[in-house]
Amino acid sequence: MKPRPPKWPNRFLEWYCRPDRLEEIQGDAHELFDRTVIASKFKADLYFTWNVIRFFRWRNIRRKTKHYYSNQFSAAMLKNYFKTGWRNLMRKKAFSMINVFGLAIGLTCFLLIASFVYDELSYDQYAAQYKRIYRVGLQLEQNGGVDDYPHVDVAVGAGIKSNYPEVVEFTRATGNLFDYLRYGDVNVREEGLTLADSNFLRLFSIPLIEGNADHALTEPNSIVVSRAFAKKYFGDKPALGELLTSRRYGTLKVTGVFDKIPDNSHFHYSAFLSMNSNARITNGRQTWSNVGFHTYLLLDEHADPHRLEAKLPALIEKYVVPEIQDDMGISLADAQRSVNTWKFYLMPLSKIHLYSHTKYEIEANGDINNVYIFGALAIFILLLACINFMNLSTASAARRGVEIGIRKSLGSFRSQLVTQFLVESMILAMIALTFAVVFALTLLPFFNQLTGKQIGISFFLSAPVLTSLVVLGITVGLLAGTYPAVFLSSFQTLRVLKSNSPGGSRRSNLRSVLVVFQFAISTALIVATIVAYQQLHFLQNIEMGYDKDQVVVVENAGALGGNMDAFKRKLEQDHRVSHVSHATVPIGNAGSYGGTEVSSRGPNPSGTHIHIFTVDYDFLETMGLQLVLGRNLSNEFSNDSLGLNVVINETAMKNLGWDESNVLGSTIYRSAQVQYQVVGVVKDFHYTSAKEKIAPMMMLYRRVAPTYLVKVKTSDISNFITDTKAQWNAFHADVPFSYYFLDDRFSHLYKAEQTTEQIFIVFMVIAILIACLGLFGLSTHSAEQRTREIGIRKVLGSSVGQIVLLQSKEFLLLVLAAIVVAAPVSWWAMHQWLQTFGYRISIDATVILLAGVAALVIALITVSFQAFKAAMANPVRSLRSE
Amino acid sequence: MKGTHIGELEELVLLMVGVLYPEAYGVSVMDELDKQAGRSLNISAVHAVLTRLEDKGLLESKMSEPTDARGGRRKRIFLLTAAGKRSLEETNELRNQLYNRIPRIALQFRMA
Repeated sequence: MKPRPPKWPNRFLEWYCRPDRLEEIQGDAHELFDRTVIASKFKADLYFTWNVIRFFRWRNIRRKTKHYYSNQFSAAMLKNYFKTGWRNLMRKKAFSMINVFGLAIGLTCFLLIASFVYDELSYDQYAAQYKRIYRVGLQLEQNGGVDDYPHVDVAVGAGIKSNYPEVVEFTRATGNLFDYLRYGDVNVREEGLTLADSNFLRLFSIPLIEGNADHALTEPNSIVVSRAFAKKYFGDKPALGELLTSRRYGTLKVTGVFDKIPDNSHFHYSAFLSMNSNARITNGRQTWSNVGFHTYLLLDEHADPHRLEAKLPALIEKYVVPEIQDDMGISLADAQRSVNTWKFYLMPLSKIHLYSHTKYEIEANGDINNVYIFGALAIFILLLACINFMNLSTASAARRGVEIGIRKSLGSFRSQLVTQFLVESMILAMIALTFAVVFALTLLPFFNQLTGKQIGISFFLSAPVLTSLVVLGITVGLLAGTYPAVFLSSFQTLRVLKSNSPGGSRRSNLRSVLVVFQFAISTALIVATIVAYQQLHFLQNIEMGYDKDQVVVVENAGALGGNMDAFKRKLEQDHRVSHVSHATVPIGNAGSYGGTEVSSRGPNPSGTHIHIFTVDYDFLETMGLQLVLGRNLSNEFSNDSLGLNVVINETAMKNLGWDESNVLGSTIYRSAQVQYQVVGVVKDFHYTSAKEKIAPMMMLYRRVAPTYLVKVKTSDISNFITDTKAQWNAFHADVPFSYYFLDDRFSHLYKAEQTTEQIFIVFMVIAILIACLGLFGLSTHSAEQRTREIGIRKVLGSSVGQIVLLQSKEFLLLVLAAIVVAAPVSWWAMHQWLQTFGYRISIDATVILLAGVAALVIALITVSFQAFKAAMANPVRSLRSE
Repeated sequence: MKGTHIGELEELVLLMVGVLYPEAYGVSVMDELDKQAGRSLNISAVHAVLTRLEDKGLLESKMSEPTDARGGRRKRIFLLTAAGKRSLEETNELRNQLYNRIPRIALQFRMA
């Protein structure tokens, strides 16, 4: 064999030398080598190396390609790329469809979820100065846990402002109040009212379409209403200056109309009343130790909220302690001890929606975890789609081997081929993106229904979104196109031209890894969905401890005035009614129950927080609650009817430090003046959502309660409701009859989880679909590649089953690997998620097994579809084509 | 000034290209310089001079047909251009003129 020049210097030469000089230089160097090698190989090597080094001159060094070849990106070439790209798409229509639509579906999901996430993140930013606005909250330790109030007492805002100059302004609102408003014939119970300070509208940048925002809430008995609110009462008449009659505040004068509170706000009041409409607030005692006023501070531009927060404990010492001391009649030391866990804190306005999870929010807030979960879901789906795109493109490379070979031998540079394939993949991505935008816009109403949001089409058509869409398209094109481009352009010219198939295209390691990754995600999503479903199912079917079915709740009991008892008696006489109770509704969020601090050892404000249910004597029977000790409240005992005897739940018994032996007859101290005797204990029941642990509660008799609970024993509910309504109207209540079913209210408790679950299921299905599309494409390709092999196997006597197995095996192994990867990860993630629930299931190994089997079966069906087709084909046809 | 003046080595290489016609390329020029003028140069230096002369317009080049030698690589064959020929003639003429003007006595002088 002829001796060859040393490898590394030769490579070095090829690397640095400008291509138009390489041939002559390398030729001369090799000629000299050949001449000297006859004498000594070593000397020849040295000489060659020396020559290579000497050739390393500025003149010979490779510079930008542009210097030698012009017009690499000529219009003609670009046109050619488009043309060949389009022809390739058209030649394999099914394959292209899978490719484009897989990506389009992925992008659609990404867009929709992105709009959801964006909306969640944009809350409360409509206020021009939102970055400087903070809400004051109060945290204190109670029942061994931390109680967190998003609102504080009436004097706190003014107190903070007067003590700290960095607070420029403060404003307060009372949260949702209800009232009955009347205008002419219209008489409506309004839920979304609030009393607000006069600067509230200005601070939150809520513009008025009628009236002046600066003065609208200055005068007492002013009301600023939303456009929809105004329309309800005044029709098309101008609302400004109209007078409404309120049950609580008398005559209200409309001083302003706003369009509506933006959707992405943490409150949605329908009307603002001036704070001084309630004289007790403005003229009454300015206290610190209660709660109830949502207080917002506007800080100075340079103020540091953390530093301000650190100063707030001084205010507790200055204002809260003396107040407690006075109110409770206790010593200074006791008062200090009782508030030593109190802490005022600041919550940035823009974080309220996602980060504030107190029990007493104005509206159900979002959750940053959901944003993360959905964000991750969106990115995963996009990744899955991109992976498909990559896999399918590289898999189709075999068909293009000849094209690449010919392009290369006609003088294409690698960079040109890379450009060609990137252009192609970007065209595909853009087509997919166009489809995705159309899909997203079409599906937006359904998506909004699913999420309960009101994201408009305008969101997708705004300039920043359109720009990011284009950027997204290009990024996806590059991301998905880079690997195929680099892979395809690396084929060796001679080999592809000779053998008509570039090596390694059937089984590529990267492709296998990507398939594993796809199915790992799919399996994890299946696990997550099953576990979430089980947990939700568990919560909804948890033994609530009472009977929620067939209970009609009649609201506004107070409106009947003197006829309250008469109404109850009328209901009791109805043969369709089994029990009636005039009491607090036993289902709601914790914030809807009144509560107080009580103790088993004398008055002490830092005792146990206990919820108070106002009930009558029929409550236990109506709700089917189970008495474990003592007796029910009864009108036979005078202390019962005075509200001095109470029935408590088991949790209260435990938290107050009693047990079955000593609880009956014990005293609950509310304050020095107010005490209760325990006469009975009921079995614990879930009066809030089962997401939360059962809290202490006590029931005491009051003649006035907000609702009637009517247990009915008829299937003809609608007739019963009609009759009851007639009865209600017969008492001339000045409030319309309104009712709901207890089990409806019950299902509302889990609405947020159900929504999340539904969204999750939808996107899980899509993710799996995308993964399957990819697998389908790959198996199609693989079957195509092996046409001849399969033909020969069949001729030699393979059965259809063997061939199907042969083809499915490699994919199934990949899916199996994916399951092994996904199982521990998904188990861990779901375990973390379950920790957020007060009552939870444990994850069963069978769930993961089930998910694995599901993934495997789905994959098997996808793959075997193509495998069967290939196996059933007539071998004559595949072999004759040779 | 480029094109008007050529150095001694350049002149030598130009001559060699003429002598070697039509087989003047890097290695042959290098060999000929060594053989005829006793000038041993590295091949890269020869390349440098050749390309410099080409830049000055005194040489032109084309790629040869590939042969089995050199691993099938082609050679760059250099040819004199009209300007190259004129340049050679001019220097030759100048030399002859000047040589003829040297007094005979000066050439007969012998060192002791």
